[in-house]
Amino acid sequence: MAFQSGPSASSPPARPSFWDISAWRAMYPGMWAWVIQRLSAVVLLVLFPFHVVNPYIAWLRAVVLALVILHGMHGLKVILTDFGFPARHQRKLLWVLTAFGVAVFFWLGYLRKAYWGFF
Amino acid sequence: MVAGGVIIRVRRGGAADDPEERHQTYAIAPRPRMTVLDALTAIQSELDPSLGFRYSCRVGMCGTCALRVNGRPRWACRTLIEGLGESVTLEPLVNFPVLRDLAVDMTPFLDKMSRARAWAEPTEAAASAPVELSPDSRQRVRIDPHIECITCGICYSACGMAAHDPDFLGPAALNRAYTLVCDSRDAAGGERLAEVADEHGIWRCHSQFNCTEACPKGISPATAIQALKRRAAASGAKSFVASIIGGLAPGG
Amino acid sequence: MSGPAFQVRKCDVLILGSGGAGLLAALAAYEADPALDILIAVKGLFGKSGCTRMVQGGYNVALSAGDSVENHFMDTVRAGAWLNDQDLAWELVSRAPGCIRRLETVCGAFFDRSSDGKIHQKAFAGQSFDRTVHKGDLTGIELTNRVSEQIVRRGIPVLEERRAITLLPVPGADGRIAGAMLLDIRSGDFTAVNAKCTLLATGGGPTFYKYSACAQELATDGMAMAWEAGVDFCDMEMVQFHPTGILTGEGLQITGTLLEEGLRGVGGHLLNGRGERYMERYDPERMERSTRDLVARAGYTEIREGRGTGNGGVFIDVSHLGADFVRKNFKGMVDRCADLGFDLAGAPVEVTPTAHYMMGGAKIDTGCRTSLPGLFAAGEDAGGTHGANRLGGNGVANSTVFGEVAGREMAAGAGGAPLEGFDSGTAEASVAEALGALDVDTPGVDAPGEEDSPYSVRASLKELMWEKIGLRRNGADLAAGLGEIASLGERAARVRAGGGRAYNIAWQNVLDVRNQITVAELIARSAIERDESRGSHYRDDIPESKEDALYNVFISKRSGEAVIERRPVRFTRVKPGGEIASAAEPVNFVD
Repeated sequence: MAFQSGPSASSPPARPSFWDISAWRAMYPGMWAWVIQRLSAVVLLVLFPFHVVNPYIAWLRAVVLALVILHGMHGLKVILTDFGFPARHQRKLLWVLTAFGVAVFFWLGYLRKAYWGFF
Repeated sequence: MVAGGVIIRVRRGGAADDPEERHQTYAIAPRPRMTVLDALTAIQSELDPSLGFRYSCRVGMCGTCALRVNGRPRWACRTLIEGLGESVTLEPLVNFPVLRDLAVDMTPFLDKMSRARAWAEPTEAAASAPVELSPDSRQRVRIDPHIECITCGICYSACGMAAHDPDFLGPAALNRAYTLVCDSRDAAGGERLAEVADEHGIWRCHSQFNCTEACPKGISPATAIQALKRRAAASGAKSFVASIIGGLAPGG
Repeated sequence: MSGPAFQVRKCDVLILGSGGAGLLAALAAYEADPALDILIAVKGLFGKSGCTRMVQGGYNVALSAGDSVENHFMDTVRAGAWLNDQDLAWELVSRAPGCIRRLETVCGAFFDRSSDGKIHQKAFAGQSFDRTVHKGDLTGIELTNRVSEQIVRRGIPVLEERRAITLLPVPGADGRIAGAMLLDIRSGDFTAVNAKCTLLATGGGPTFYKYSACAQELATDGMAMAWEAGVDFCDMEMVQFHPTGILTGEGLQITGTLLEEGLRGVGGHLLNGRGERYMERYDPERMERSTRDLVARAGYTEIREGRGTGNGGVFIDVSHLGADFVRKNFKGMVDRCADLGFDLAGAPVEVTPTAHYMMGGAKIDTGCRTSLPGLFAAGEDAGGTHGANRLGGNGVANSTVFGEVAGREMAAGAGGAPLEGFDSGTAEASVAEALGALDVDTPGVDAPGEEDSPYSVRASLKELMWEKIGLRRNGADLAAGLGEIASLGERAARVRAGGGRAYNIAWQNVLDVRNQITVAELIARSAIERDESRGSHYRDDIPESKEDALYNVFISKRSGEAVIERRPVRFTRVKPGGEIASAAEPVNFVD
C-alpha cells in the first residue's frame, strides 16, 4: 500500500447509528424514493395476502393500489435510469413519475367510484 | 446579514486515541459572507485551540475541508454560515476513520481508487504524442462532465451503499473508472470494466443518487455508474452470445 | 517520554512536498531508475497540499506555429526586468514543451483542445503570444490529479501529514545534506529520514501577508529549513502580488484567493470605487493586460489613495463580455463567486491585490542543486528563474519542469552512491526544539486568554508585512519593519501550544509562524539592500530603476549571521534591450 498513515489512523470508519437522526438528514429525494420503494414492497408483502383473501375491504383496496403504483413508479424510474435516462436529472424524473402516479391513483378512483366506495 | 450569535455544535472524539464521542458547542459572532471554515478557524484561534479539522486551499480546489454540515456532507470553505440557521452542527464525514474531531483519514477511500485502477494506462499512440481530439468528440462529451472530481470524499460520505458494504468501491472511484473506460487514449478499458463489474463495484450501486445530489462540483457519479452498468451488461451479453455460438459451432 | 526521541528510516531519494515539483520529481526519478527507494513526505494530504492544485489559468509553453521558445524566453526575461538567471529561464522555456507532452502521454492529462483537436492556448497578460495551456479555469486540479494517480500506480510510498522540520547534515563541516527530520502531524512522533538526495519542493507561499492567495498550510517551511541549514538564497525581495484576489471581508478565509488572470486576458475591466478604469493612468497601452506587478500596484495605490470600494478593494468587471461567454469559459470562477453570493458573469466583483508568489528562493543551478551538496530545490522553494516578476502561467511550468529536472538529477546522483549518515546532534536538537513549542502541562481545551498565541503573532506579522514590506516600500518602513520582525521573532520563540502531540494543530501553527518569521526577515533584509524600484520591488523613495548595473541580491548565513551581497546579473544569453532570434523551425516537444 502506497499510503503509510500514522498510528492514529487505525480507528474504524465512522458510521452513525441507525438512530442518529443527523445521518438521515443527509438523505436526498432520490434516497427517500429508494427507501420508500423498499418499504412499499415490505408493506405490500403483508397486505396483499389479506387483499387476496378478502378483496372487498375498500380501504385495503385503496392502500394496495396506492402502494402498487408507488412501487411501480419508482421501479420504472430505476429502469429508465438503467437504460440511459441521465441520472443527473433523476430528481425531475422522480417528481414527474410521482405526479403521474398520483394522477393514475385518483383517475382510477374516480372511474370506479362505486366500486371503491369513496371519492 | 446574520443577526445575533450562531451556535456551532462540533462532534468531537471518535478517534483511536480519543474514542469518546461528544458534541461541544461554541458561540460565534457571525459576519457577512462568513463560511463554515471561517467559523472553525475562529473557534480554533479564539476559543479552543485543541479543535481538530483540516483545510488547505480554502476555495474549493483541494477538497480537504469536507465535513458534514447539519447532517449533509459539504465543503467548509464554500458553505456560508448565513442560511444554516442559528445552530449549526458540524460532524466528520461518514465512512472514513476519524483522526481528530473533524479530520478524517482518506486512506481507505484512496485504496478503492486504486482498486478501480484510477490511473491512466496510455495506449501506444497516446504514449507517443498528445492525441488530437476534438472537444466535441463523443468521448470528450462523455468524459468532460466527470473529469473534474477532486476526490474530496463527499460522495463517499453521502453514499448509502458505501455505509452498507465496506468493500464497495464507491462513487468517486467508479466515476474515475468511467472516464478512463470512455477514453480512447487508455489501454486498460476492457480489463478495468471487468474489475469494477462485480458485487462490490457497479452492481452494488442501488441508484439512490445521493452522490449526484451531494457533489459540490456538480458531477453525477451515478450517471457514470449507470453508463458502466450498460457497458458491462452489453459486453456480458456479447460474450454470452459468443459462447453459445461457440458451443454450437462444430468442434467448438 | 520513554523510548528513543525519533525513529530512523533510510531511502535513496527524499521528496518533501507533493505539488507540481514534488510529484513530477518523484515520477521522473522513478522513470529514470525504478529500483530507487523514493519517499514522498507531504505536510497535508497527498496531491492536495500546496498551490499547484490551485492553479487556475494555466501553463505557458511554446507549442504553436508562430510562437517559439525564444519568444517565450524573451517574454520571461522582460517580465523579470532582466534579473532572471537566464540559464534557468532558458531551461524553463525549452523544457516546458516536453513536460506538457509528458503530462498527457505519461500521466493521461487532457488539456483543453481547439476545435481542430490540437491543444488550445489562451491569452495571458504580459505575453507576446497566446501560449497558455489550460484545463478550463481549474488547470491545477487536472494536473495534480493525473500525476498523483501515476505515483500511486507505481507504488511510490507517500507519507501524508508529515512535515519536515530540519534538514540533517552529515557530521563534519562540508554542509552535505543527508535527509530531513520529519514530524508526523497525526501522531506527533519524529522520524529522521536518511537519504542520499533530498528535494525541497514544499512550495513557498507568502502566507504572511494580510491578503494572500496561497494554500494556507504553507508556511515557507522549506525555505526556513534551508536557511537554517546554510543554503544561499537569491532575489528574496521579489514577492509577487496578484491583482485580483477575491474580497469578501478582511480576515475571512476565502478573501485573497484568486479570480484568475484569464479574466483580464479576455478583456475584463478593473474599476475603482468611482467606476473609473484606473489602468488608464498606469499603463494606457496595455491597460488591464499589463504585467502583474504593475496592475497589482495600481490597484493598491487606488485603494490607498481613497479611490477604493467600501470594503477597501477595487472591482473586476467582466459583465460586458456576455454572461454566457463568462459562464462557459470561467465556470470555476463563476461557481465560486455564486457560492459567496456574487454574480461574476453579470456584475462587478470586489477584489484586492493579494500576495501570490515568491520569485526568490534557494539559489539553484540548472540541475536544481542548491549550494549544499545532496540538497536539491524545485518549484517555489527555488529562486532565480523569474527575476523580478513572474509571468502568469510560468509558475506551474516552473514547478513541473524543474520537478522533472530534479527527479532525473537525483536519480543519477543517488544511483550507486553510498548513503552517508547524518549528524545525530542536529537531529536531537531538532526534536528538542520542536517539542519546546509544546506545553504538555497545559490542556489544549483552554482558551489562550491573556497568553500570546501563534494566531496573534501571525496576525501581527501579516499586518506588518502588508503595510511595510508589501507592494509599495520605502527605506524607513523597511528598516522599521525589520526591527518589528525581530520582536515578533522573540514573541514566537516564547509562544507554546498546549495539549498533546497527536494531531495538535496549534502546535503546528507555532512551528509555522516561526518559519514564516524566518523567511519574512530574509525578504525585509533583501528589500533594504535593493535601492531602486524594479519589477515587484517598488520603493516610493526611489521610484526609478537603475539600469547601469543590474544585480541580484544574495543572502546567506555565515557563522550564524546573515550575509548579504549584490552580484552582477550574468546575461548569459541576451543583454538588456537585446533580442534573440527565433529558430527557423519551431522547436516542439523537445526534451
